[in-house]
Amino acid sequence: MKTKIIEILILIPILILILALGVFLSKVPEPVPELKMPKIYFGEQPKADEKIVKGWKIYNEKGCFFCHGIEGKGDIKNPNSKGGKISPLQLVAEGYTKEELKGLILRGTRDIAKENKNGPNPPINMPAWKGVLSNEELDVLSEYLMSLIPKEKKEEW
Amino acid sequence: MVDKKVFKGVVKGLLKISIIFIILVVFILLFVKSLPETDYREFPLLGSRIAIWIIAQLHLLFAAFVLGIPIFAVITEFIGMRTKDAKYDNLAREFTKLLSFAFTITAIFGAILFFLIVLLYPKFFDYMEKIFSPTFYLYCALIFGEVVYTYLYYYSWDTLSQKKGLHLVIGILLNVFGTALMFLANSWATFMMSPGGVTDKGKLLNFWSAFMNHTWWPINIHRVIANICFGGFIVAAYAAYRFLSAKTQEEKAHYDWMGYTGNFIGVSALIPLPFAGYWLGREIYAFNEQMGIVMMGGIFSWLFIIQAILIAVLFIGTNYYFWVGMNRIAGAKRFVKYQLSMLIILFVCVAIWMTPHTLVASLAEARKIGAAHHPLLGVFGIMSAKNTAVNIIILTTFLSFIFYRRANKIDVVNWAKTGKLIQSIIFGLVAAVVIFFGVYGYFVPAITRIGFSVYQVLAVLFALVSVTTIDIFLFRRAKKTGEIEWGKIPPRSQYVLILLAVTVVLLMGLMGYLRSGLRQEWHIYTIMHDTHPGAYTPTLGFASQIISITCLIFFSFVAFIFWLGEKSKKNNYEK
Repeated sequence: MKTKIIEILILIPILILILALGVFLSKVPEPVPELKMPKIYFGEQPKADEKIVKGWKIYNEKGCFFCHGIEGKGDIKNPNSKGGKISPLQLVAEGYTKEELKGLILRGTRDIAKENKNGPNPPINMPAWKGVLSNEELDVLSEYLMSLIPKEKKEEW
Repeated sequence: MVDKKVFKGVVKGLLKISIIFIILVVFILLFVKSLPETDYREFPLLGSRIAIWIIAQLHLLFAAFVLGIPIFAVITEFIGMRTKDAKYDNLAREFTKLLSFAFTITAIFGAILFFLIVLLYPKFFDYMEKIFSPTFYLYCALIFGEVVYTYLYYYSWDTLSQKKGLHLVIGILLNVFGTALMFLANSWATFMMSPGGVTDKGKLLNFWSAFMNHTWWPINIHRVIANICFGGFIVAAYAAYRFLSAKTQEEKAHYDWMGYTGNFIGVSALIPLPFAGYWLGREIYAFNEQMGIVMMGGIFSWLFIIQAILIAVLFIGTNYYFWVGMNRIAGAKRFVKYQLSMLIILFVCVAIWMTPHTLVASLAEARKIGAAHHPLLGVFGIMSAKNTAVNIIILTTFLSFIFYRRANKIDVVNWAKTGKLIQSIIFGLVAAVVIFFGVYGYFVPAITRIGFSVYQVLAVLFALVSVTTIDIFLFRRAKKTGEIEWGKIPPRSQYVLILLAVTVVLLMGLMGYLRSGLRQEWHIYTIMHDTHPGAYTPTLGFASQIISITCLIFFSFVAFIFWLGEKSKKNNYEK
């Protein structure tokens, strides 16, 4: 009998807590749905295989075009860098293999060569994408960048 | 017939909390609601900020007391149940007795804090109420449960003496409710520091993101461990007080043993505490790098020098207590020869830990140094050196404990030599790993260096676990060189225990100031500005004065609780 009352006393707070939990959950406001921004892709979608199209999307979604221009055409200023502009990516296939390009993207380029050695550092540098891009994203992105070379250049080779 | 004492005890507890609650509501309805609407009101003489600071700190310290002691009590009671040793059960009971009074004080300070926030910071409270009002229902239910279980746990001790399992369930429920209560309150405090789930104008988007914000879990874990640590050291301080005022050898023996047990639990929780702190620091950086930089490299960076000194007091004090305690163990003399070298290691590490990276120097002094950083001391001022020093301190303290543990034992197992060799190799290797990463940290960028602390911590944890495991098997059925002569310890060791408790309280005050101060000019970081005309971030010097005053007030109350405990024990003896 003695312990029965104690057992009841043990249960009362648990029951009250369950009740309070119910009230609590009923009072919690529904989360406001997140605003989904429509994805905007710049430039023309490449008429190529699916891998390159995916790479084009990644190029836009990750904001590569901010520095390297739409479709890698460049023309973005970076004061006191060699040539005063960020390198375009259209001819990247001429200078690098796909694996080298992947390494470059992952490492980034911290120190940009200066036009005037005594001048200030160029304000924009290439961030390292290691840990940001997945292996698949990196693969399709570099595939897309390698495909940017203009047709006439390809034929020259 | 139900045991009247149990029922009356629970009713008494509920009555007390109800009276506090009713007074609070009456004050708010009659006083606050009649005042004209405003964003801020002024507290006479002290100012609102200082008033809230002191009351909040006192409330938190007592909250830590009423959360830490039940963890301690349940563990001790469980050990008593398993070992069938009555002294553990008595110890747990003695402490639970102190809980009811401490709980009332906590509730009173909590009510005053709530009243002051509503009165002095109405705009801030209105906003917090809008976001967190659903949690208030849970809070009330948890408070109710906490009161019922606290009083039930104490008053049913005799009734359930034959049903220890059921009694332990009450103790566990007391801890579960208490911890849940703390987690709930943590969500409010951490939201102020790292708000989530709201727009930059403060509109609520997702309650759960606000509730379980960035620093919520790290603070929860940090506070649970800190409460165990705090509980242990407070128990040790109580035991020290009783030891010093003991009249008989029997009493001295009991309180010496209690002091040792409290200190042991305190230190056991102190060792993982820095790791929980690292996690919290990392999350602060992840939430807002600027806040992280303000903390570690900005206006609060010197606070960590004071923190280092206080933690150093804890570690040196603990080692000293172990070493003094070994004098009452027959056979411990063989370990005395190591104490000097351990002391030197401790002091060198502490010196490195408390070396500031940037010295406070006049222009003339800075010119004499020849650089922004002192050529020698500057080297020890960075994280690589400090992490290494902390880990070596932990290893040294652990070694002290191992010596203490085996002080009156002689191994009898046939693999003892190999076992000890393996233990030595582990110690040596782990120390080497810690030092290697400490030195290597100077040659790599900061971001890589920070990652090294994880390897150092893992290595030390490995040493703690593996060496203890080997030690347990090594000294199983060991031959005893004599019993521990409880009570035959010099009084100076007891003053050390009191010093440890005071240091822990100072440390809690200091870290509380850091956590709140990090918000700087914000009530809620980046969401709600503190536009009070007297708003400022207190300097470290001023903060240390407030923390010291709070510590004094807290210990005055604690001394009163201890005195009550002593009085009730005397009455029990007389009965």
